[in-house]
Amino acid sequence: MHAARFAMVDDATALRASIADLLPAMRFTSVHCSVEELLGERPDADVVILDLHLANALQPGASQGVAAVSQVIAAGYRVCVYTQEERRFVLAACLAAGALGVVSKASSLEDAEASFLAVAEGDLVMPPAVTGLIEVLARRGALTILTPRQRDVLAGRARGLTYAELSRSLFLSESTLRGYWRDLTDMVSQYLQATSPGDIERALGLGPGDLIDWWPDRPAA
Amino acid sequence: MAPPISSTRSEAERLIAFFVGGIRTATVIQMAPSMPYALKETEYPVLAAASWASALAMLVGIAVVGFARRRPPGPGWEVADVAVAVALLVIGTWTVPPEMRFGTWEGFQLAYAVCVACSLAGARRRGIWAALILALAAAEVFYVAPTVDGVRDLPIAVGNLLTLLALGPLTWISARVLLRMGDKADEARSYAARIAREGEERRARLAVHNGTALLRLLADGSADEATRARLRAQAEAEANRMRAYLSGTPRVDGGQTDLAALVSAVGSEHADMPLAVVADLAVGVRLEPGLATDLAAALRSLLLNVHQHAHAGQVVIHAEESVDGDGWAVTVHDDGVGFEAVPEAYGVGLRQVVVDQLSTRGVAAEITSMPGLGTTVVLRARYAARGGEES
Repeated sequence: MHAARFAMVDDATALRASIADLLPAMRFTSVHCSVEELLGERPDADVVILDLHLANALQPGASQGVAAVSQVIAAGYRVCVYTQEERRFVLAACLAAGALGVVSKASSLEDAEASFLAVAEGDLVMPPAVTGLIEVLARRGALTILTPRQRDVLAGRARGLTYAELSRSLFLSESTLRGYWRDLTDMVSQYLQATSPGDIERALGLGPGDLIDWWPDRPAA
Repeated sequence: MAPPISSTRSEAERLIAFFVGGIRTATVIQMAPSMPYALKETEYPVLAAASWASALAMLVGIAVVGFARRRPPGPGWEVADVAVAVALLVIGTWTVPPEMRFGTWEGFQLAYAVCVACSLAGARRRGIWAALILALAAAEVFYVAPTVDGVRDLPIAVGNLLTLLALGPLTWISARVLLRMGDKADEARSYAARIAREGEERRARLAVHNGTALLRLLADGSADEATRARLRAQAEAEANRMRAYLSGTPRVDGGQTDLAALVSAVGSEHADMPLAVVADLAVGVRLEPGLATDLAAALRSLLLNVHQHAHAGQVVIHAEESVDGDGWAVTVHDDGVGFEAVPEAYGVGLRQVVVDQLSTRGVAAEITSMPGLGTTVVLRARYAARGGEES
């Protein structure tokens, strides 16, 4: 199994220039200022680390947001969103568009690197605020296929607990818990991508149209 | 309300002193008519007059001492009182003819002895009291023995003796019960005062704890301007709470509060931390104002602790109504340095603002932490009555 290859799309020049030095354990094949440039060059990468806000004075027409996520995924890449965006419905919409991870730019470099590598291994990485939304969906019956153990893990992750802490309270090994989480996030990912924003609005108790501005026009296949 | 200036015990002692003074005054009044008759009938008028004068002096003297000191006269006076009474009973066998020894119209000694026995109500030591009563009883037996000339005379003699042996202990036991009630009342008052003082000290600590932590953070010169601006806003809010405490204004922020809104509001005060608030499952959970105020203070204290000590990369406040709908829980988690979570290690914030104060509202605090593994605090409450509302 080869080491995961990463590409980065970010409009911040300094970040693009330094990311490989900041995260030396990761193998970066290329960096890009826009999705359009990425898709034009089609770099040989497994995961694209994608900023959500890409339009600026130099590239006012650049794709960004959930639309950019959808374009990169459609090109066959795994996507991990790396952003300062904190609105959880926007972040959830990225997952609905098919992103495998959402990582805050406020995270420490160690945490960010761990999250990028987890996405490369196929894990769904999301912040507690978004995990909390998933917990709401599970509690309100929208996600009915979760096992009791998966619900325990979901509840713990929504509270920010680490696997080490969950292992102590649930009397299970960390690897077992990671397995539960991976199975759970697969189901969550499929649910978000297959469910209409209207159904999610109802499950979350939101008003009609509350998600429409952020949610992908067409859920990822 | 004027503060009480004396103890219940001292009031009980004063009551006993007044009782002793009263019964001695009544005995003086009761004895007075017998004096001319007794002097006329006796073969020893000088001795009878001296007996009467001694009795009067002791009756009035001890009554005055008791009134003046506002408590029973004490063991010295009690021993002297009984000694004089015993002497008068013995002398009475000469000064009072046997046929005149019953009834205060002729011989005052028996009534005087009962008065002295009742005056021992204030005696503190059981042994001394019993010895004095027995001495009186023995002297009385000696005094009335010559009046018994057959079985027919026994009931009167024994009845007089039993009067002394009944009234003496009855008054002494009653006085003991009264003094014990006074002691209990004083203990209860002292306990109530201590509880009130401790309660006030606890309220004072609650009022100043979070403000103190904020002052410490504000004094940290390394904080950036944005952080300091947020701390100033928090300090202003905390100053208003402390001012409300100092002015005696009730600490009520308004009507019932939504748990989700409260948690979100407290979280927004700490936006300088990597903090996520997850409170969707707590929407609609209503808290009564006092609980909301204390819960907010506890959450602020927890977050200030995280700010000061945890060095956390991620902090999560999660609030929910329980799956069964029978209560709610708020979890504050940080992935910081952690600590040995034993109650002895808790500071004022954890121990009093969080654990103690919330327990008075029916909220249990569970704190788990290990060095290097972060800290998790779970605040959990059950509804006293159903209806989705904390009462």
